[in-house]
Order: sequence, then C-alpha cells, then structure tokens
Amino acid sequence: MNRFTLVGAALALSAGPVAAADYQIETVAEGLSNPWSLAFLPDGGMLVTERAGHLRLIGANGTLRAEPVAGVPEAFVNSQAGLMDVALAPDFAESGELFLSYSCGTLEANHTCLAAATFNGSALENTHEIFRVQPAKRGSAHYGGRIAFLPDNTLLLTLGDGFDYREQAQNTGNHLGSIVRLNRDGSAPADNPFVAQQGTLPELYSIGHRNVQGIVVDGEGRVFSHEHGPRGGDELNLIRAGHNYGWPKITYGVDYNGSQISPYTELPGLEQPLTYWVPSIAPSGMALYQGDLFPEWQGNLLISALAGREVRRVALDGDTVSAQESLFTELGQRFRDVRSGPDGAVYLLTDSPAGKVLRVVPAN
Amino acid sequence: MKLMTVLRIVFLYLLAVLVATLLGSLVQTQFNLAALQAMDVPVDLATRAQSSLHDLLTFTPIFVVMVAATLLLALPLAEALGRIFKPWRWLLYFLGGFVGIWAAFTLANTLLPMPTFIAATRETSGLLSMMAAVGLGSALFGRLTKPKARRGLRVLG
Repeated sequence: MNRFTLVGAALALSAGPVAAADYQIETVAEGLSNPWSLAFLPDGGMLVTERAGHLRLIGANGTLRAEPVAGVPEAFVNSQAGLMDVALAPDFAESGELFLSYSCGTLEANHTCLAAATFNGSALENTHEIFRVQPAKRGSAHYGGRIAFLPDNTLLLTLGDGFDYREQAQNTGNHLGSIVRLNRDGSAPADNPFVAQQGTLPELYSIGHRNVQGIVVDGEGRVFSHEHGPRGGDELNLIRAGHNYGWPKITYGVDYNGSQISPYTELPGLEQPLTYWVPSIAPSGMALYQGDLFPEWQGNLLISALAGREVRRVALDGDTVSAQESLFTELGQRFRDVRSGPDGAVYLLTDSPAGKVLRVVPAN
Repeated sequence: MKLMTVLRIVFLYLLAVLVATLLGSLVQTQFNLAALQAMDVPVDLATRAQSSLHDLLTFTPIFVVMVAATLLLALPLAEALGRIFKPWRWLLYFLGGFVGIWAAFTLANTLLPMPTFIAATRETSGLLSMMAAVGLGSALFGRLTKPKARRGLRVLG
C-alpha cells in the first residue's frame, strides 16, 4: 500500500452536537482515471470503476492490478458520461454477481444502462444489459447512476433528468429524473408503486428528481438519497415509494444563468427535502457509516461533494437532520464517492484524471 | 468624426444593448413559466410579475454580456452591409442581432459544461423568440442611426 499520512481534525460547521474526530489519511491507490465508485470484495480486495470505462481491481494486499478487469460493457464516454457505479449482489460471496451502471449509446442518443455480470476473481463473465432508461436523450449530462439494494433483494437505480429534459422528471411515461426499482434480472417488481397506473412505466419507484448520485438503505429499510440541484438547491431526501420529489416544479436553486427555474419551493403533493444546500456542494456519493473506528460517526450519513471539496457528515435524529460537519476539506479535493469499509475505515475517491483511493483511519 | 457623434453612437449602442437584454430576459421568463404551466403548476399574474422581475435582476447580468458582445460585432457589420443594400437596412440590422445572438448561444453551449445555457432556447420557439428580442434591439440601433436621405450612388436600390 502506497501511503502518505495526513493528520487532521474535523471542524464543526453548523450548530448541534457534533464531535470532532482525529484521523489520518492514507493513499490506497493512485493514478486512476476519474474513479467513480468502489465495492469491497469478500477477500479484502476492492473493485473501482473509472469513468473512462474501466473496472480496476485492487488486491487484498493493496496492490492495484495494472490491467483493467476484462468483460466490462462498452460505455459511452463523454463529459459526465461513462462507467459509473459497481455494486455487489447481496449474495455475491456465493453467486459472484455484480451490477454496473454506465451510459450507453451515442452523443445524439444515449441512456443510463445497467448490466449484470459474474466476477470470477479476475474478469467478468456473462456480462449482459438488464435495463436501459427510456427514452434516449441527447447530450452527456445527468445520468444519476447509483445502485442500492433493498432488504427484499430488489435494487434501486438512481437516474438523472438529462439536463435539457428537466420537465420529464414529472412524466411517469418515461424514466428520466426518477429512481427505478428492479428485480435482479432487470424486470419490474409486481409491487412497484406505479404499476397499476395507466400509461406509467412499471419500473418507477419515485419521481421528480434532477440528478441523483447518492443512495443508501439503512438497517430499518429507510432509503436516503441526495441529488444535485442547479445553482443551489442540492437536496437530501428520504425516499418513499411512489412519491414525487418536485423537480422542477419546486426547487431551492436557480438556473446557472441566474434565471428562476420555478417560483415555488413547495407545492401540495410534492416532497420536501430533509435538508438542502445553498450554495451547492455538488453531492456525488453517499455512505452510511457503520464502522467501529469512528464511534462518533456511527449511523451518520457521509456525503462526498465535488464543488464543496469535502465530505459532509450528516447526523440524523429520526428523520430529521440534527447536525452537519465538513470533513477532509484540508485536502482540497473534489470527492466522487465515499464508502464505509468493512474494516471500519472510511474510503474516499478523488475526482481527477489522476484520482486516488484514500483510506481514513483514526490518528492513533 | 466629431466627439458628439461618437458619444451619440455609444449611447445608442448602450440603449440597443439595454433594450435587447430586457426583452430577452422577459421572453425567457415567459417560456420558463409556460413550461411550468404545462405541468399544471399555477402561475397567476402576480407570480408572473415576480418571476419576471427576479430574472431582470438575476439573469440580465450574464445575458447583458452576451448581448453587448454580440452587438459590438453585429452592428458594424450590419452598418457596412446597410450602406450597400440600403433598402434592406432595417432587415440587415435585425438579422445582425438575430443571427449574432444565435452564434453567442451556440458558442456558450459549446464552451460551457451544461448542454444548453439558457433553458428557454431548448425549443425552437423559445430560441427564435430570444433571437428576435436581440434582433429588435439591433434594429432599433439601425433605425436611430439611419442617415438622412440624400442623393448619391445607390447599389441595388
């Protein structure tokens, strides 16, 4: 393991009972091309996606294998488009099954896609697409792309509105700007919330989202997600099946050119976020910390941020955000993802053409 | 050229920029509100006025730069062509702003990370309306700077 150590103490941002922690940061791997997601293998190794379309293997000994993992589906790579999340099936130890989200198609007509494959320890086998967002969109922005599993073994895939198609987030006749719930073969579960409604797509789980790039399911089965707002208005949401999260009918942000997207921040029938951020932090990934190394962070949400160049720690009291804290700002890095490791450490991915996997452990 | 003439041209240029910017801002607000109304979001007159005012304060600081740069290039070109094709002077000035701001939109969409910088221009109707707003500002400059009619060589007219 290539190491450098940086000792820091987190600084509290907002009012509330937050406890600062002393930590040190080690480099696990570097030289990765815009690493996007990380999955921990049962043997202690890791799989890391690179947005450029590669899946990289870090062995249990901490060595980054030079050659990318073979068998990855071909991704459309441009701007925000590329290979995104990697998620191991809950029964991965037995089945070896994993899922990859990625953009597919061309600049003129592309989709967020989801593939399933079997990892044999060095390569992917039987890689096959199981889901494709409909319809195709033009441009290379706002794909969502995060994956999480529900307790019933179905999976959630977060999506984006395609940027130029923001009004479609309210249209239940397509997948844009939604979170979908799928069986592991890509089919729609029969008890999905919109199944019975005429003219709606059966995969929809929630709608009214802009670009969801963080999702976790806690031990009680609660689903938390965050999404990028426009200029301001990033949101942390508690996702409930069949609910509408408002974009772009309501928003706490404005367009990048300064114009108003909606005069409303709330309207009947539309969900309010648990919290929102103005100005934007650009939330890019999320973990529920469940390790033992930082007991003061236990049960907190850790949210990686691109523009904010931080990891935002969010403490919850029930369904209410009780405190927030900015972590790792001293690195000055854009963070693409954050994970709670099986060893209790926090793992970070930095967003850069020469990105790194960092490991955060207590200072002592 | 006399100082007063130069100052007059500068004043009229600034007036054209102001008119085009304000018209463009008002136009894009109405298209954004129309998109919300199409999703059954209520927009009454007071809300429309509030949104229009909001954008006049927050959208214009960026849009005025695009318009000013566009007209700085388009107006001299329209003037030069207008001296040749005199009967079409107003049309040439209108087209100067109309086509010029389209080029500015295209450049912004190419250089900036977001696919479309101004949402109202996503659809053809919104794009043409925004282009017309800047065309009107440009045509206003052409109208106010039109030389008094006098005898002389005329080409194509």
